[in-house]
Amino acid sequence: MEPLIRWVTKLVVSNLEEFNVLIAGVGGQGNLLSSEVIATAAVQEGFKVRVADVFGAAQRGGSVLSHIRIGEEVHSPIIRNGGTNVLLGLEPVECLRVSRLLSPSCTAIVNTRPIYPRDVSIGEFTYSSIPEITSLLRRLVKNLICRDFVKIADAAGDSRALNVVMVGSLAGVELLPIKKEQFLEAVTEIVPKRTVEINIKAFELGFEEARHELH
Amino acid sequence: MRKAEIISKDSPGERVLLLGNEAIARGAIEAGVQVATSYPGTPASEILSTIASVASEFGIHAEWSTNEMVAFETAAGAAIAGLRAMASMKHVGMNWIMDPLMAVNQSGVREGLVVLTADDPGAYSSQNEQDSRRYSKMTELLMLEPSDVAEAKETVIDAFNISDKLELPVLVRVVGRICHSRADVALGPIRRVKRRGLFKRDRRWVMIAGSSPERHKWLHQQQGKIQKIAEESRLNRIVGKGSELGIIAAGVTYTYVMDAVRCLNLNEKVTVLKIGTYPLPRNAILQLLDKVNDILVFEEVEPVVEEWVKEIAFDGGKKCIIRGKLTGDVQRERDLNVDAVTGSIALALGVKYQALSPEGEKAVEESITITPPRRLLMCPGCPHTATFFIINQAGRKAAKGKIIYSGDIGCYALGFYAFEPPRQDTQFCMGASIGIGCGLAHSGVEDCIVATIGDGTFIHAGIPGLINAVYNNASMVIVIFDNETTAMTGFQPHPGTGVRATGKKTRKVNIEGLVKACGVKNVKVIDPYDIDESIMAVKEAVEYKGVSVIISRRLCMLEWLRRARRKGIEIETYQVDPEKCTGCKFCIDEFGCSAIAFDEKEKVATIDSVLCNGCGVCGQVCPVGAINKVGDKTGC
Repeated sequence: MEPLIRWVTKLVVSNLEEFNVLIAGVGGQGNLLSSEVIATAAVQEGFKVRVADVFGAAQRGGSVLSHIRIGEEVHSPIIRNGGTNVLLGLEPVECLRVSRLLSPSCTAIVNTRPIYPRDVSIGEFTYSSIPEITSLLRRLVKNLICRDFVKIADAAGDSRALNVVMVGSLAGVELLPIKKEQFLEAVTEIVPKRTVEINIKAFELGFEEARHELH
Repeated sequence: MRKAEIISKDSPGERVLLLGNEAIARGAIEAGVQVATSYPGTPASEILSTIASVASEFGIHAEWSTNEMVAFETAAGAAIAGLRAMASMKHVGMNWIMDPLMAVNQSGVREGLVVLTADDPGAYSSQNEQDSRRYSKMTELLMLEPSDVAEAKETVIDAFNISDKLELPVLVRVVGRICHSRADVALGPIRRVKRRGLFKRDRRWVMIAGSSPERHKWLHQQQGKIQKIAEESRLNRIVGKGSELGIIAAGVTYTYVMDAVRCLNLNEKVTVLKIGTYPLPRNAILQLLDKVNDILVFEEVEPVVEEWVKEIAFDGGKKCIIRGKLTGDVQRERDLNVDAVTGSIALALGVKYQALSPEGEKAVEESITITPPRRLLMCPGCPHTATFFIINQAGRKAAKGKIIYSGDIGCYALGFYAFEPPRQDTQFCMGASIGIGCGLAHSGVEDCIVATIGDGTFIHAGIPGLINAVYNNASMVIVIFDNETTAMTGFQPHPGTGVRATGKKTRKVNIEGLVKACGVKNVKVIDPYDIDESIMAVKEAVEYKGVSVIISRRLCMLEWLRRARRKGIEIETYQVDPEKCTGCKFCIDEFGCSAIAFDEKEKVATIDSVLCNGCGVCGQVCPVGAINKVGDKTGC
């Protein structure tokens, strides 16, 4: 069989072995766009990237989960139990749904505004309080940054920019060796053209919010 | 469009982020595919839509075919005329193509024909989980199975090259995990082909009775070449030198094994054999068995490699223990993942593996108890919700509520989850609603049989069933849930929409005309948003002795929203008047729109204005007229 010529010009950043980001949200929140932005920024920065977007058959309103793995020693696209370094929780209970995947050294960035599931809205299940949810999360992770990120997205100009606000906050905690400019370029490339301005603002607000938390 | 730019980019060596299905599409384009066919089906759908998005630039004919069998035949026809062709589908689609494939494997083809099956281990969006690798022995064809996204692109290119040489179709198998994961991939050079088809007469194209044994002999003569290709393929390779355990990992499970070996620090202790071809590489396996005789096999879903390795070990006179699904060392059903694989390897080696501390486990257990499920629902305003309400109400009026919902595949299948009791009583495969309905009818059940089938599904598989119902006199109501799209798989067009995969307009199949031509006397088209008229029409159909067809036609709500947004149309939402609402819950229990909630404190229904899409059906459904348009105080 003829050998294939591989013209791979790989810019390998070899000092990052494995870094795992998990994005947990609800269908319609823009989980997949955040995943694409982060992964694209990582590829442009020269990293090996593996992403698994898991959304089952839920069209709308079902849980959506994105595993983003970055680094030389990464093989499969799925994060192992106890392997998540950073959690972006677009919705509160979705963070609990992925509790088994969180590492004890994890930094969790959590949006505190709920989206009630059908079972809750017709009275068949109770949605726990935010303090109850965050106190459980505190037993599972090292750092917890909780905000009403929807309010911050509103301040940027559109509550639907929640997903990009949280990508900004991921960049802001500065745990990933990806330059802020790389993230901004990815946002500009990927979001619909007419929403670029609002999304850049959303990113910056999220970035500042996380930086503020660290210092 | 940005994605189309990346897929068609001519810059060999550039690294881009690609979805597995996009990588497969790009592989076909780099290989110079000229005809690409498919039918929508998760997890394969994005392959054809990606090719279609750049088809005109490369002169590729890309189509959504009526069903997978026609898709395969179309691709085969092109390959017979000397053009590279690919037919892609989900695993159950592969079941559809077996009839023509079992003849084309013996006739062979002139130019590269690739058949790609995307399996769904775990049945995340399918009626079954099945292992299409079993088809490689049945068809006596080479099957290739990549382990990751980048390999998937290269594998499609290899498949075309091999298919050319062998003059045989080559099968490629991927699983949902590869289709829907993303990775950095290096783009390759694009082979631009503008070949015109040429039909060269050859007796082998005519698989007439009696011709098979000769052709079958020819196929058997190709098996030696196929085995040689498997032996030399870089999809199979040995990694490591350890002798405590030999791990054989097929397809995507190889990546789980590599992660597991690193996590458990077993680099010095194990040797891993990656498998990516069927037939298996005998030499590599015998080589492994020479070094290690304790073997653990990982694969999805059936023990295909596990069984085959035993054959090879026996033939090669090797003494060894082969462990895997058959021995209970690896889970038998469902898709594997990195934790399941790590656990199995740890157990096999007597090594401890605990992902979380006891405190962590405890916190996880507590989290699970307070986490509410998110059920699969139909979208707010979905016309199917209204159609199910109509059928249910008509059934109460005309059949004392004794209805069997003979179900099918599509968004309306969610009628199983969205209502209590469910409004789907059987579900098997495309078109089964009518077929199974015929059986129920002829068995003499006392219930009224209502077959529920979508517009896409009806065209794909429902017509023979409909003809059968009329021809053989099976009394039933067939309700075609016509939302004018193939929604569940991603809003692809179909022959009833008048639009092709590339967006070009074409002739529309007239469904009611087709139904009448099949001999149905009682056909009615209803608008599910008009509740009273519709209930009357379905009631008549239920009472009719014979085959009735109701076409419930209303554009998919999400499609409507997309178009409305583009035109700048504002949605007029609905609300419940808490003064008028009696808390009867009729709107929730009988109608069940996912935008209607219940306020336990005030004991009234409420409508979430963010979720409501303004269809207005709830306003017609409410028995006390408590639901009206926001700002409309008078009527509905």
